Amino acid sequence: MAASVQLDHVTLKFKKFKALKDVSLTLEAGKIHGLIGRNGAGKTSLLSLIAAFREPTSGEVFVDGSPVFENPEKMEQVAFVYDKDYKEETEKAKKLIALASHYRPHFDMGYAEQLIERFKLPVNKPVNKLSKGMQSALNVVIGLASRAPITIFDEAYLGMDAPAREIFYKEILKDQEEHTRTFILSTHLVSEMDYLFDHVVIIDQGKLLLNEPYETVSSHGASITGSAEQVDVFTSGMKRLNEQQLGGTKSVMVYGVLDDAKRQEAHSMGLEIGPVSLQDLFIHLTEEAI
Amino acid sequence: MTSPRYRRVSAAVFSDMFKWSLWFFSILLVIHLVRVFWLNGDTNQIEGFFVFSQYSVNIFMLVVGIMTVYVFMGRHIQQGLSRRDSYAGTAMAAVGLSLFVTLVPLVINGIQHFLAGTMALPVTLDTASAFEETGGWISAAIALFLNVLTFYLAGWLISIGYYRFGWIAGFGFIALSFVVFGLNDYLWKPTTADAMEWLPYDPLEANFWLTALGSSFLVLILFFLMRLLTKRVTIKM
Repeated sequence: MAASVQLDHVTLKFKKFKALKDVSLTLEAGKIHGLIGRNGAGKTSLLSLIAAFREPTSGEVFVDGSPVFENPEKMEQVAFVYDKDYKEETEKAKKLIALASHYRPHFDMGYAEQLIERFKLPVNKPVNKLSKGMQSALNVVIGLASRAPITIFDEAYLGMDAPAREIFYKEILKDQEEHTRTFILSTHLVSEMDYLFDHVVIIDQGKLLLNEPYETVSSHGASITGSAEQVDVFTSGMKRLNEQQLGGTKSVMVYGVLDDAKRQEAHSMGLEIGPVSLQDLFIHLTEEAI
Repeated sequence: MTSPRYRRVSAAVFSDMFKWSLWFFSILLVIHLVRVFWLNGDTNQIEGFFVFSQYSVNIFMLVVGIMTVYVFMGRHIQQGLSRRDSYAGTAMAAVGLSLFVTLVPLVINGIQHFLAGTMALPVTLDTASAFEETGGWISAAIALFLNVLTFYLAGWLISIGYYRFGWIAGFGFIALSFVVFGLNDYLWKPTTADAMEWLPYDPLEANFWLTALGSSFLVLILFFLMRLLTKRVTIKM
């Protein structure tokens, strides 16, 4: 079960500061969306609106076509997992998991137990006594096992070590195959998580920069490698992101679509065309907007 | 078929509050027993559990009310419940808890009354005069129920004030709660030794049912105010 999300001209203000500026976007149902943005770009603000934690200053947020704020059927479809402050949480981890199963109509306790096992989560410990990584694992267990049609993980991996993060990513892909839902993964770890994304959303300074399928985004960037002279000739007039030179060999990263004719031309000039990572594109795109 | 959302809320919230109240009554009962058996001093008689516990039960309910917003509300919205369901469920749980904390002192008082008749206690327990002012245990129970519910609502009001408007405005809500306590005292304190003594009319002496009606009205206003204050509240992260 999956649901779609629409934002229609959404603006969010905190006093005079505009956290989101007239954002309109649609997140397709059943896809894994990567939400990328620099610190303070407005990622968490955007996600908190989808989860109906707050109301937009103007505009509207919809889930499957209906406004989500104070709409019990739609709010129930959204699970928002974020880096929660558990300093005061003296309940045991298992109590919080039990609460999620009490409230979440699609909660799968069997799956939760599997995840607890995989993350080696000590469920009988008070949550404020768990390590940061284990608190994150608890959030992930609740988020995954809730099987909410829209599941949001906002930097849910904080404090997790690399093996735990790997388990998290694998579980997302595995569960998506069997129980398709709409995932929104907000992250800084772009290079580590990009393989998960069906769709990429980049926001910067409260504005939407890009909302495209992953393939489209990755086909927008290319690295051109060859003799320095030839590379310079070929890339003149193109948007250059970065360049590196070693002796007479140069590699330039460009942004834009390379059509077949251009590729042919590169080939005939003896240049190599390679892919550019989403991370590099993200760095370039958000740098430009400054 | 799953139960309506607000009922799921009220079941979970009541279950937590119920556990807190068991701790509270256990401690209170131990203190009372210590007083009856060891610290009874030279007094000829001490009050039964109903009178002994009234003040503490009110404070307990005030504290539970203050905890309500911080412990439950954010949790509910994060679990995909609407503010309306969170409010309705919490309100139901609060009424349930008020009934429970009214019942427990009554039952313990009744047991004491029974025991006092069958065994020798080191001190005489006054288990009957609790009900003189209000004229019978039913009206005493109604009075305690309305009092504890008012204290709970005052606590809930203070916590939503702090949660929504920060600590400076929070003090304003504490001031508001004093108005609530003042009105409650005016209604229920039998003598004129209360904050509203300048008012010529003493409701409790005049008519119990009129007092209960006034108190119920106060409770309804507080419930209504809480709905207004939680209706569109922003959840802190």
